Amino acid sequence: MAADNSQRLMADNPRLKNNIDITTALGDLQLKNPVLTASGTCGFGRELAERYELSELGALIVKGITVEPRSGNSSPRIAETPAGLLNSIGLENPGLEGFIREELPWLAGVKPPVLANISGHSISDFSRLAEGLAGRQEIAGLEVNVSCPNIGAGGLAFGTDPEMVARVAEAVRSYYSGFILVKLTPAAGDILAVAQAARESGAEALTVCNTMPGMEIDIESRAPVLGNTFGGLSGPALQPIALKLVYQLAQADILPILGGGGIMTGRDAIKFLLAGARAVSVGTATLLDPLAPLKIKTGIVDYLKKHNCGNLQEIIGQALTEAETSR
Amino acid sequence: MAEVISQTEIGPDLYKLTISARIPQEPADRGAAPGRFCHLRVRQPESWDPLLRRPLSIYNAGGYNSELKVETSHETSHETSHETAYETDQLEFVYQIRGRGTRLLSQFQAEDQIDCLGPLGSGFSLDFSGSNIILVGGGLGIAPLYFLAQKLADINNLQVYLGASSAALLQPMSADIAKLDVKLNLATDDGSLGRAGTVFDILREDFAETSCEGNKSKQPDYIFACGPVPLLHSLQKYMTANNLPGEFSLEKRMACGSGVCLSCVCQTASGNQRVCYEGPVFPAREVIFNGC
Ligand SMILES: Cc1cc2nc3c(=O)[nH]c(=O)nc-3n(C[C@H](O)[C@H](O)[C@H](O)COP(=O)(O)OP(=O)(O)OC[C@H]3O[C@@H](n4cnc5c(N)ncnc54)[C@H](O)[C@@H]3O)c2cc1C
Ligand SMILES: Cc1cc2nc3c(=O)[nH]c(=O)nc-3n(C[C@H](O)[C@H](O)[C@H](O)COP(=O)(O)O)c2cc1C
Ligand code: FES
Repeated sequence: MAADNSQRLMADNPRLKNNIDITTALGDLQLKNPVLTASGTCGFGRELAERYELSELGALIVKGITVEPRSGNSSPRIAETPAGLLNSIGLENPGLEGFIREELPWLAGVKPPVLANISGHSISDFSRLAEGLAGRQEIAGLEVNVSCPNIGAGGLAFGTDPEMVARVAEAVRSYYSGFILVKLTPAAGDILAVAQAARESGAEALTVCNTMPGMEIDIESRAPVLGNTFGGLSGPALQPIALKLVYQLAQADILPILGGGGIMTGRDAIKFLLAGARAVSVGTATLLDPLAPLKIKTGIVDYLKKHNCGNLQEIIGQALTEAETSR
Repeated sequence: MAEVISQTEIGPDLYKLTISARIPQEPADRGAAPGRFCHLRVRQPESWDPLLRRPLSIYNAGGYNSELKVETSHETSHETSHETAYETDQLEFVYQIRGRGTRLLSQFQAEDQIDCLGPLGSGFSLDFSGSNIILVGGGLGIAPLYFLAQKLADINNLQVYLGASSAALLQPMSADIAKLDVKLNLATDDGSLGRAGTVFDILREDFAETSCEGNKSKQPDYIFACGPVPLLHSLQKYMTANNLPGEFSLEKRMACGSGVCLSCVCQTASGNQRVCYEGPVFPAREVIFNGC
C-alpha cells in the first residue's frame, strides 16, 4: 500500500493535526496510541494489513498460540446472543513452531509493537511457550491467556485460581525477560487476588478482560447451538462486566491495565479510560467492521478535542473515586 | 455505505435486493465476481442487536450486466487517510427469510442506507471456453449461479440443474436463468415445477441415460454446485466415482467475513480453510463433509 502517500495525507488531515497527545504506556511498553487489537480478532494481522496500515494501531495482539498446533472446535463455532457474540473457536492455531516459522517473519515487518498471546493446558506448556519466544525481537512482549474458556483441560481453572495464576506467571517470567501482560478472566471469583498474584509473579500489566463463559440453545432442535456446547461471550453484552472489573482493579492500583470487553465506539473506549485503563483492546468490533480500531481512535481524539484535553493522560482514571478503594 | 435501490418480494419470503455499493478498486480483485459474497449489516446504526452481519451471495452485478450501473469516483477515507478510487457497482442479492436477520433485511426500502462489507471471498473459476459445463443449485444455493451462468453461457455449452422445495421458490430464480443461452433442468420436491425429486435425482437420471447411449459428447468437463450439504455430499461421491472435476460453494456461520476470526472454517484435504476467505468456493474434491 502507498505508505508515503498516506503519511502525506495524514499530515494534511485536520483531525490529526491538532496536537493532541494520545501516546500512552502499559508499564515499559510505550504506545503511539491507546488502541490495540484483541487476540483472536485480527488473526496475525495479514488480513487487516490488506485494508489499512497497521501502524495506525497502538499495538497488535495476535491470535493465541499453544505449544502444539490445534485444529479447533467443531462447527458451529459462533452464536449470536442479545447484543453479544459467543465463540468457541477452540484456539485453532499453527502451534509454537508454526508460529515461529510462518508468522514471525511477517510480523518482523509489522510497525507497531506486536504482542504474542500464549495459552496452555499445563504450567509446562506455558514454560515451553515462554522459552520458545524468549529473545525474539519480532515481538514486544507476551500476553498470557490464563482465561480461555474453550479448552476442557483447564483453561478456565488457571484464571480463576490466584495460586495457579501465580504459578503460570512465574513459569513465564522464568524464561521470558521481556514485557508480560496477564489476561484475566471475568469468571474469577476474587479478581483482585488473581491480579495481585500476577503482579507478585512478574506480570507488568493486566488485560481486563477475556470473554465470559456462556451458551445458547436452539429451541427448535432443542440442543445447544455451539458445536462445543459452551463458548465465550464478547461484544456489547460483556461491556458493563468488563468496565466494572477495570474500575475495581484500577482502584486497587495493582498494575497498569489494558481495558476491553465490548468496546464498539470511541465513546465506549473513553469509559474504560475514565475507569483507569491506560489503553484499550478492541475485539468483536473489528469483526463487525475491520476499520473499527481506527474509528475508535478517531472517536477518542474527537472526545479529547471536544473537552479541551491536550493529552490523553488527563482523562485516565478520572471516574475513579476515593470512596470505592476498599471494594 | 451502500444505498438500497430496490427491494422486491419475488416469492414466499423470498426477496430481491438491489443496492448501489462503493467498492475500492485497489486491489483489483476487490470487485464483484460470481461466487463472491457481501456481508450486510441488518441492524440500525445506533443499535448493537442483532450484532453480526449476514452473508449473501452476489446474485448479479452491474460490472457484468448492462441493466445495472457502474461508476467511478475518488475519495479520501477519513479513518485511514488513504485516497482510494471507488467503483460504484449495483449489486443484486436474492435471499429467503430464515430468521431475525433476514427478516430485518427485508424491511429495508429504496433510498435507505445499508452497510455492506465486500464483495468478499473467492469466486468461481471463469477461464473456460468451449467446455461442457454443468451448474447445480439446490434451494437458495441457486443464488450465486445466475451471475456465474451469465459469465459462462456465451462461450460454453452450459447445462443448469436447479432444485427447490416448491415452484414458488424455484420459479423466480429459474426464470432469470432461463433467459440465458443454457439448457435448463428443473426439479421440485412436489413436482410443481419441472420433474419431481431432488436436483441430484434428476442429474443422476440424465447422466445414467447418457452413459447407456455412450454419448461421450454429453459428458461434462466441469461441475459447479451450491446448495445444502447433503446435495453437495452426494454430488461429491458421484463426481469422484466418475472422475469429474468441479467447484462447490459452501456456507458457514460467519462473524467477521474477512478472515480474522476463524469462525467459519471447513475441513478440506489441505487442512482447515476459512469459508469467508479461502472460500466460499473450493475445489469439489478437496472438501471433507463429515467434519463440516
Ligand atoms: C457465503 C454465504 C452466502 C450466502 N448466500 C445466500 C444467498 O444468496 N441467499 C440466501 O437466502 N442465503 C444465503 N446464505 C445464507 C444466509 O446467510 C442465512 O440464511 C442468514 O445468515 C440467516 O440469518 P437469519 O438471521 O435470518 O437466521 P438465524 O438463523 O436467526 O441466524 C442466526 C445466526 O446464524 C447464521 N446463519 C443462519 N443460517 C446460516 C446459513 N445458512 N449460512 C450461514 N450463516 C447462517 C446467521 O448469519 C446468524 O449469525 C449465504 C451464506 C453464506 C455463508
Ligand atoms: C472469535 C474470537 C476469538 C478469540 N480468541 C482469543 C484468543 O485466541 N486468545 C485470547 O486471549 N482471547 C481471545 N478472544 C478474546 C478477545 O481477545 C477479547 O478479550 C474478548 O473478545 C472481549 O473483548 P471484545 O468484547 O472487544 O471482543 C477471542 C474473542 C473472539 C470473539
Ligand atoms: S468469519 Fe471470521 S474468519 Fe471467516
